Amino acid sequence: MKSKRYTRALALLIAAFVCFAAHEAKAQELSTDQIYERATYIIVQQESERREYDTIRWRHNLRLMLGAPSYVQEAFLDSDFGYVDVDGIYTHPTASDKLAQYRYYTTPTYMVPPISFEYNHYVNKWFTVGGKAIFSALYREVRHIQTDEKLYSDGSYSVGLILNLRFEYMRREYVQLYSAFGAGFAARFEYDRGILIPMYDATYFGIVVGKNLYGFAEVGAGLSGSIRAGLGFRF
Amino acid sequence: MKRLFRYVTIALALLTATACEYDTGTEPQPERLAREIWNIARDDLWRVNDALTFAACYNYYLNIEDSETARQYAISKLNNPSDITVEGNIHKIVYNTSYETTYSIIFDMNGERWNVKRTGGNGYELNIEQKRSNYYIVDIEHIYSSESTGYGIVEGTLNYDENGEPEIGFVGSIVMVDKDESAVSPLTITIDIIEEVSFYNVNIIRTGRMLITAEDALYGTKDEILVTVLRDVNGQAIVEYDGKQWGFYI
Repeated sequence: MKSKRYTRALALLIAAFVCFAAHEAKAQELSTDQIYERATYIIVQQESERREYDTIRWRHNLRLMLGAPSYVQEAFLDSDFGYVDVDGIYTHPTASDKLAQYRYYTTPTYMVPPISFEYNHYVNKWFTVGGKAIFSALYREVRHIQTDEKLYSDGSYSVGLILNLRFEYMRREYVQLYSAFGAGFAARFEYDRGILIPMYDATYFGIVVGKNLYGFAEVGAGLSGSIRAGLGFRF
Repeated sequence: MKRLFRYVTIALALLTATACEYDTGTEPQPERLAREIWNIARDDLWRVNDALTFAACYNYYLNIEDSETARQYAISKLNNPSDITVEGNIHKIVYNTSYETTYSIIFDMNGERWNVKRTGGNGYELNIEQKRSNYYIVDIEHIYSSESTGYGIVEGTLNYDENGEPEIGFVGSIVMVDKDESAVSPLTITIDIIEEVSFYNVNIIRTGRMLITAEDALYGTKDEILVTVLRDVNGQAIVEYDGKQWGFYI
């Protein structure tokens, strides 16, 4: 009788142990599965997002940019570049001209640096085609040295329209690198005369940070200026 | 989209306000203006003095008795004329220039009143009247140069040194108008001589005080300078303009 009882108890104990062990093993497996699944989920999610980014096809791109003056832009805005004397001959200054030279002084010249507004259309993920409108201006006054009365104001402004091609050669989710080149025309107006000439605009290196709404900075040459920065919106 | 346009408009307005100073302009230079006015007026004074000096030299020449002395004087003081002819009161002094042109200075002497006329580009006409032994009044009918034409009245003294060099001093008013034909509205320089102007070595101003006005009809301006020649310092003057003073070499 006593041995049967002991045997029954031992069997129960072993069964309990086995169940417990099985339970523990199962729990371990469960938690490992969760971690695995969680990690897997994150990886899959990232992959999914990456794939989602790659598959994002913006169609339109608007940009507003401010540039520091460049050599070409400055020379075009503030010189007689392209102007020709009416007669093409030098006229000797009169006595009145000589006195006027010293009777008046010029105030500091203020420049509105190149401001550009640009629209681009995405042909594919890395190539856009668009147009850029650029504006800049100069202003100063000529005043009497004694009365400080303004004799006249002296200013000029330039407007350019550039057809622009941009190439993105590195694309990540939040950062892109690109270069661009454009050609078009620029007009400069001063008093009652104007001049229209072919003009170019190049971006040697540009970086975009953001997604739909982004900021960007560029280094280039041409009518947009030398160093440029601005905001853009893609949709 | 409306919000986007609003932001773009505000951004554009802010961007245009970022105008930077491109260059510092020029400083007012009243001293240079005063200098330029003086340069123009000084040239006009030289022209008048040349005309008066020539007339004074011819007057001295007429009183030289020795013919050889007179010939030497004509060479040195009358610029070596090609010919001098006298017909009654009319004395004609002719010059043949190296450019194969001729000009003459004609004296019409009627007692104490002389009319002196020079032909050619830089011509003039003077009416000289002797008031006292060495005191004259000169009515400048007209006096031309390559850049201006003028008129005026001056009066003053005439003396000679031991070499027959005239010493002329005069006060009065001279008006010169820029005759540049392209100037619709000319520049008029008025020289009011307050204290006697005198020269030595032909063109060096030794004494004088002048109020010089430059009226520019093109710009509608009137600039005045006061020039005071320093007696004790040869070739220098104090020039005043707009309440400021500078020392000039004249």
